[in-house]
Amino acid sequence: MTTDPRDDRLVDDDVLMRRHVGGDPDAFGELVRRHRDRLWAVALRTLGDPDDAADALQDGLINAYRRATSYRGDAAVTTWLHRIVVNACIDRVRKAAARPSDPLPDNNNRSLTFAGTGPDPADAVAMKLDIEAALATLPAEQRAALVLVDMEGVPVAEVARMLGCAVGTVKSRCARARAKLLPLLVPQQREGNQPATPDVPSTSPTSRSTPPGGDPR
Amino acid sequence: MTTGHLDATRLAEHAEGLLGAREAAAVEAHLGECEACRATAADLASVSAMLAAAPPTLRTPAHVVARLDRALTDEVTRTPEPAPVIQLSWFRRRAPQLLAAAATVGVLGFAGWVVASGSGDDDAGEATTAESSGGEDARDDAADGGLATDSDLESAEEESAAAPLQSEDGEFPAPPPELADQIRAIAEQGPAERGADDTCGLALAEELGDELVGAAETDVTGEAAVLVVVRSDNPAFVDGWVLPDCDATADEVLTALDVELD
Repeated sequence: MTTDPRDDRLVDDDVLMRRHVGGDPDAFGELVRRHRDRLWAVALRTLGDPDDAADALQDGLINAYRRATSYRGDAAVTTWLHRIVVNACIDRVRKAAARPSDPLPDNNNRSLTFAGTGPDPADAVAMKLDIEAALATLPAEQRAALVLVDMEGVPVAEVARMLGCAVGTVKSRCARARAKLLPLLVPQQREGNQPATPDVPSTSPTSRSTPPGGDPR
Repeated sequence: MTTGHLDATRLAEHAEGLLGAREAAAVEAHLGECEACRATAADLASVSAMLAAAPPTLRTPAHVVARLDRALTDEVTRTPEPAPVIQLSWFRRRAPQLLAAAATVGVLGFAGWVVASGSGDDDAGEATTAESSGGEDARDDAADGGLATDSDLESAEEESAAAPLQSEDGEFPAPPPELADQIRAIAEQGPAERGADDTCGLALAEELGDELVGAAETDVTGEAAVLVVVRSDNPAFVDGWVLPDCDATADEVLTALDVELD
């Protein structure tokens, strides 16, 4: 179900979709209002840049507006919207990848990826970035793969299909991205490298799966 | 292998099962005897856990909200789609402004609505095909975000009478369907039926430089108005202009429609 039980004044997403297809000019806007923050989050995290994210979100929503009749009702409206916005983001990632130069150097955090190498100027300034800022430091293709796999819970095989690459490539991008994020998200406090965030449960990177777009809101 | 510690990338690749059997075994062996690398492996897992635990929503910045609202409002006013056999021209009088806008910001508003001609007239059929491909070129240019070239603009100007222009400002209401029938009725009568002293619509025709076909009263806009029909540059089409009175010019147009003749 997609209706927030705390606010039963709101009609169901499916009803709004039917109203939109039936010509109600306000129905789609209400859907956008409901799910905008969720869609913004995935766009910003996937693309790492607010301007790119706004472009992709607009493209995706306009696309969804026009293609509303293609919504079959076999998935929640929020999942359908989510998929369209993610595709709009991936379009941008793939187009950017097709361009010759990547503005982000690939190895700028390399020295930080070695653990336990003793005092190091880089370790000394290790700071805990917020997740969006940390993601923004990644190369676009690594970021897209990692966000989809680790944050959106999309199965690796599906991510490979979406990005147009092999499953092993997705795994490799995720692995390198996690290694780069490590010093940014987990402060390196000491030589031995104790986990610095004991309140975060340590789980296998591949064992967790959350269905995308499952956020009721 | 046992000199120093494993780098985090290697450990992350190991966790993904990306290493070959021998390399994986070596990493396992090292992890078995190196507490620091075990801790690094655990930290890598916690990176994934932190990402998974991030809140699923982020507050959309106000300027993005405003931008999305604007884009969706534009999209709402752009509908409904025209009926397939009729060419809408939104509108010839906007052509100079739209072309000027296209020249400055690279947005070409035509394209969309060119329909294949069902006419038996070969010349007209070819003309329509040419316009259709020209419209697609214009749309491609717009989609690429590229500026229209001078030759694009020239050819667009030549086609502007028959190639439909979409109103960017939504100024005109969509013409009602019966308007097409009224335009056809006037076109079938033809200029021969028009009295020599009938000057209704002449001001518009002269302004446009088009041949006046005829004019009649109409109430399609919900109020008394005059429908003036002129010969389009494309022989397969006539243009119907709804004006407040017989002497009105293009600036006063209430709505307008290009109709393909049978």
